[in-house]
Amino acid sequence: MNLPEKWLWYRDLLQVLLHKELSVRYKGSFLGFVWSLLNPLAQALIFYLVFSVYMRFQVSHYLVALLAAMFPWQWFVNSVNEGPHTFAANPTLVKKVAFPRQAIPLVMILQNMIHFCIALPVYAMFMLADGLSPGWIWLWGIPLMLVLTLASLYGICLFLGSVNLFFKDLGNLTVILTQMAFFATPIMYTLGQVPEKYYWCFKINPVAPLFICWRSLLMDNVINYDFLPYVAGYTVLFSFLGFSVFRRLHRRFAEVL
Amino acid sequence: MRDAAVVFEDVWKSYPSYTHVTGGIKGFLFHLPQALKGLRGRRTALEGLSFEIGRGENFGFIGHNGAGKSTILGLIAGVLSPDKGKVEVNDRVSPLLELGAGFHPELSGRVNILLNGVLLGLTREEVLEHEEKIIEFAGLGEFIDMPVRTYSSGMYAKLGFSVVANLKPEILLLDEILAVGDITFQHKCKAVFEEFRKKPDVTMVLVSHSLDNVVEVCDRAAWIEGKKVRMIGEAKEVVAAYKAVNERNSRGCGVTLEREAIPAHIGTNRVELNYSDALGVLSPRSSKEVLRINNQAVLLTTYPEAFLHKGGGEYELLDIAHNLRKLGLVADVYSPFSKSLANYGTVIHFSVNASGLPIVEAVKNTGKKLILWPNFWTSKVAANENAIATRLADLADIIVFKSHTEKTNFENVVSIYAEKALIIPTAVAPIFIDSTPENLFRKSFDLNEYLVWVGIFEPRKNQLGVINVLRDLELPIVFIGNYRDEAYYRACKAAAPDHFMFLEPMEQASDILRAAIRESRLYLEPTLEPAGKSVIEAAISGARVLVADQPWEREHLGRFAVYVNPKDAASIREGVRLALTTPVDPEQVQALAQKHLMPQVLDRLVSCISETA
Repeated sequence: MNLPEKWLWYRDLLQVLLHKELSVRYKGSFLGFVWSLLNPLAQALIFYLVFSVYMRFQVSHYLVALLAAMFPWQWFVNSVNEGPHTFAANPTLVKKVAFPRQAIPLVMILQNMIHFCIALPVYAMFMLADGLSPGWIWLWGIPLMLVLTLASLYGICLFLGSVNLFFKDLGNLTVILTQMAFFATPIMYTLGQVPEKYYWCFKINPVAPLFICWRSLLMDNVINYDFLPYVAGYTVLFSFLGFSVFRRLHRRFAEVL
Repeated sequence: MRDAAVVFEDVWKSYPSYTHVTGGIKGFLFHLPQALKGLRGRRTALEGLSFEIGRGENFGFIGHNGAGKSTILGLIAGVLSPDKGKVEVNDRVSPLLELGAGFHPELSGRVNILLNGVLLGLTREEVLEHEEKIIEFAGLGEFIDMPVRTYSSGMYAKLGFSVVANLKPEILLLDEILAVGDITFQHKCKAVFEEFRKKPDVTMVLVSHSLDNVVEVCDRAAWIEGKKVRMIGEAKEVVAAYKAVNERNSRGCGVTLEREAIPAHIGTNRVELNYSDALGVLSPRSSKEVLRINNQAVLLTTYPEAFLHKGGGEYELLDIAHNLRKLGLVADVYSPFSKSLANYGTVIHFSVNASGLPIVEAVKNTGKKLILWPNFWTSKVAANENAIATRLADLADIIVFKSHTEKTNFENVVSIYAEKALIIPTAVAPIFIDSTPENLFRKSFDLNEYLVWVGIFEPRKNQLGVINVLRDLELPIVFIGNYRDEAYYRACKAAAPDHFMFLEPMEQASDILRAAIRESRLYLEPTLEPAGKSVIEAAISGARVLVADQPWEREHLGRFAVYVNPKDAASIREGVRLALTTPVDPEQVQALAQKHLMPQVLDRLVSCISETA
């Protein structure tokens, strides 16, 4: 196979696998992909009730602010929690067929990304209902953030998926870590509520800058240049880590599965 | 030489012994020294293999299980990588290893064709180009648009095969020559292989235990042994050399060797089984069938001196064997005329007698499935019997109880795993529902209405007690049976009024005995120990029955029988009065028959025997 033919195949492979994942995920479920919306919406509603209605958080447009971070978080956390299992859950693909295995986590992340993209118009409606409106900056801001998030997730999931085959405890550990990350990241609270002298906490947290930038973009229609460099930096770090671990370990996958 | 499709250059491959690592972090930390050693320790599977397979060539690998053949296939397929050396594969590989690997059960056959094709390395367009051909070849009709989880295993394999066979394979990897599906489809498979064999651009790599297949299909072959290539060359010559060495080693145990030759990792294949003296030559279509045929032969054993005093237990054994045969199994009773053990998949051992232990141990040593049939309904156990029962229960894979009462009694003595226990209701021969000539017994003995008691005379049977209570009864009681305790028998006769009758024992299940039971107003057996199987036979043949109120009786007869306290005169009198005034409910007889009649009652035993281990 020459090179363009190979790329053609890669494209088809991703397309077919993605189509498979999407059609399988909600097969036989009545509400189908609506669930991918209901989940973050329900969570946001709970936070809204608890923090805004009962505890009187003084944050304007709190529900929209919640959703602006909750939708990307949903994409992120679904992918990361599934990450350790991507290879382990597909033993036949790993053991029986020779094809680029790195496609397995990629397809999983893309699938979650598509759900996120479907949620964006819904988010926009919440904005409009609350007297806010999307900005033109979305046109290039969203693709940029999609690429950065995708690359980070891909690195994280390659790492988790590869290492988990050798250390099975990683799956459980990951769930705890994502839970901690949720509270250590301004999602249910906003950056504005945190004194500026503590911002360094979010800068050393490899996950937080991503969601800070998503909220700035989706809610305030600005690119947050304070945190964007950190997003880029962590993305490079995650990708590098993920790919190098995968490269080192993937030859042994079929032996341990 | 044509250009090479596959080149192995001094290939080494080892597998990790990741035991401590895969055990998780905890296991890793708790066993740190071993774990670190484990990280480094690897078992080698191949040691410096070199060979070349030309494009269009048909190449076979032979060798024992574990020689490394599957590892070679994995290396060619690209799912494994060598530790050292070079594996060069110049064409697209189509592994025909596991048909339908990568199929998703929820998706339709059509979508799965695309999925599978793309996974095999084709673009979407290329797959769609061949889609119609694949669908036609698979011949699944409208099933092609149904989710593959609804497919039978045959259909699944057909579709998998069709995908691989029709998508321009370049290097075809085969673990055994596959012939899947029905006969027509198998012919199609064969035709396809023949076509591939001749095509100059299709390379076939075959791993097989069927040496005939290798000779038939392959141009060249390699014999892998001890992690190395032992011989490489013309297929015919390599096979001949392999045969020469192995036949020398295996003479005399052909059957076991053939069976070992079924590799566990193969889903569907064709295996030739050669039962030289038993079942003739079978060519089952799948390995599943191989196992079933094997397991369907049953040997029935008991302790050696059992047939010196042929009694109820021995008749039961013969009856079971007879009825298992009716259900389509091969069932032989151990004797000079039964076949040797290798021919049977399962052994059923009757009784928990100490002298039977050596037989059971010998059976177990060969790894056969062992079903223990304790016949253990009494609750009295001798001390040494206790130990034997424990040992036998340990050896058994399944223990058959004929009632929960028996199971409970047994468990009082021996603790067993719950999953070993199998309850097969007391089996009654179908002859008991056969009709008898009208009034045969009444005419023969010039009787009108009467009560009947069939069975041996002894104190624990309680005949004397009943006679003393019922001596004033208008209707006669007819006792049929021998005595074990002569004094007791005499006492019974002496106590009985003149119109009671004492008859000699009659042939088991004979017309006259069945008539005696069937024509009676009431069948009595209110014994002090659990009643015998005869009560169920009587009930099924339609007699009214009166028994002691004990768990065994309650479990078997439910609401059908009249229950009395065998030691209480008033209770017996009341029971007899009740029994004589209430008619038998035919529906309940029917229900009892359904539960106990052979051969159906043995169905669960048969499925237990047929189950692959």
